[in-house]
Amino acid sequence: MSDIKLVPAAVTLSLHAGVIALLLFGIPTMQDTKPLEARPLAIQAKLVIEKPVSRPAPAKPVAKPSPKPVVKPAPKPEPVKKPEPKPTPPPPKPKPVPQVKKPEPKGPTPEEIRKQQEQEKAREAAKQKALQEEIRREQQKELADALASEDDLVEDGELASTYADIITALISNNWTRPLSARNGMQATIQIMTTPTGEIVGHSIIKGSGDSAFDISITRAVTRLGKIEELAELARKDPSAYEKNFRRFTINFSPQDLRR
Amino acid sequence: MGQELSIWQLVSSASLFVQLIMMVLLLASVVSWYQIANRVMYFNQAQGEMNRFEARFWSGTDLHTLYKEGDDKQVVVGMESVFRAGYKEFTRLAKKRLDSDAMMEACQRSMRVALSREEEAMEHSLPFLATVGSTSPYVGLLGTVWGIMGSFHGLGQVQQATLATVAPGISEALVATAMGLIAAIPAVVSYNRFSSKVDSFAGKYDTFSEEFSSILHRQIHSRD
Repeated sequence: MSDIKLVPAAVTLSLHAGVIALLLFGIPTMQDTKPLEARPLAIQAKLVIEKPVSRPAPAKPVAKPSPKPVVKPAPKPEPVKKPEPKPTPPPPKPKPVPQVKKPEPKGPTPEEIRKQQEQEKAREAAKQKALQEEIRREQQKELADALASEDDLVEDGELASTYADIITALISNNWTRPLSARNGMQATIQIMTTPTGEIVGHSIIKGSGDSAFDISITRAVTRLGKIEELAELARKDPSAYEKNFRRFTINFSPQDLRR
Repeated sequence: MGQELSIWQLVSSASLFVQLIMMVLLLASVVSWYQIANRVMYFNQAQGEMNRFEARFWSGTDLHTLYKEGDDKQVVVGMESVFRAGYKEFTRLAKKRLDSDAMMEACQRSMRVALSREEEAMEHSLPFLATVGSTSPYVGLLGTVWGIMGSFHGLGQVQQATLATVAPGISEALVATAMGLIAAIPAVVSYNRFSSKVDSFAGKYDTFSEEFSSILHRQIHSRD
C-alpha cells in the first residue's frame, strides 16, 4: 500500500493539472467576463458645472499666513514651565534676583492665563485648519497624480482620453443634477456601443448608493442616444474602437456642490 | 488574457505565508485525490471479487477445490480471504483430531482475525481523507485571515482608502479559502461514501463468515 500506484497517481495528477490549466487559460464561459478586467479605460469623469478648482486655490494663501502667527506664540509654553522649577530653587538663598522676577509673571496670571488659553485655542484651531488644508491639497495632488499615471497606463492613452473627454462632456451636458447629489458620490456606468456610434446598452455597474443620482446618469446617457464621434472613430480606426469603446465604463462623481 | 493574468497574479502576488498555505492545500488535494482513486479501485475490485466468489461458493463446488483455486492468486481480497482463513484452520485442526467445539471456536477465531484484517485494509487512508476534509477549510481560512490582515495593514498606510486598494488583497486572500474548500469537499464526500461502503462490506463479510461457520459446523459434527 505504501508504494505509489500508477493509476491513482495518474488520475490525481491529470485532474489537478486539468483544473489548474482551466484556471490559467480560462473556461470558455468565463471569457465573457474578460472585458470587465481589460478595462484600463475606466474614465474618471467629473460632472463639473462650476469649476471647483478656483475655490481651493484662494484657500491656500489664506491657510499659509494663518499658521505663521501661530508659530510665534509657540514659545509661550516656557513661562508655564518656569513656575514649576522655581518652587524648588527657593531654599538656596542666592536667588533673590529670580524672586523679584517671579511676581511679574505671577501678577498678571489670572488674566494672562485666560488670554493664553484663548490664544492656544485659537492656535490649535488654526493648526487644525492648516492641517485640513494640507490634507486637502495632498489629496488633490494625489488625484492629479493618479489621473496622470492612469493616462500613462493606457496604451493609446491620448486617443482614448480625448474621446473619453468628449463622451464625458457630452454626457455631462445632458446631465441634470438631482437634489440629493452630494460630493464624494461615485457611480460607474457601463456603456455598450455599436460602430455607428449608437448606444445600444448601458447599465450602472456600481451604484453611488443614491438611486436618484444613478438614475440621473442613466437618463443623461439615454438622452445622449448616439455618439457621432465614436462612429467617426470606428470608421477611422476600427481596432481602436473595438478595443476601447465597444464596451467601456465611466465613473461619475459630482464635484460642483457646496457642502 | 486578463483571466490568465488575474489568477496567476492572485497566487504569485500573495505573501509567502499564504503561498505556503496554498502549497499545503494543493498537496493535500493531490494526495486525497490519489487516495480517492485508490479507494474507488479497491472497492470496485473487492465488489467484483465478492460477486465472483459468492457465485462460485454457492454453486456447490467442493470446498477443497475452491480453496485450491485460491492458491494460484497472488492477492486474495475480501470474502475469499475470510473463507481461506477459516478453511485453512479447519484442515489444519482436522488432522489433529481435536474435539468439535474447540475446532469450531478456532475456525471462527481465525475468520474473525481475517475479517478484521479486511476491515483494516478497507479503512486504509480513510482517516487521511477525514483529516483533509475537516481541517483544510480551516487552513485555507488561516491563509485568508493572514492575507486580509496584510491588506488591511497596507490600507492603513494609504491616505485615501478606496475599494481598489483593499479589493485585490482580499480576493488574493480568498483564493486560499477557495483552495481549502476545493480540497475539503471531495475529501468529505468520499469519506462519507467510503465509510458507508466499508460498513456494508464488513456486514456482508460478517454474514458470510457466519454462513461458512455453520457449514463447517455441519461438517465437523457430521464427522463425529
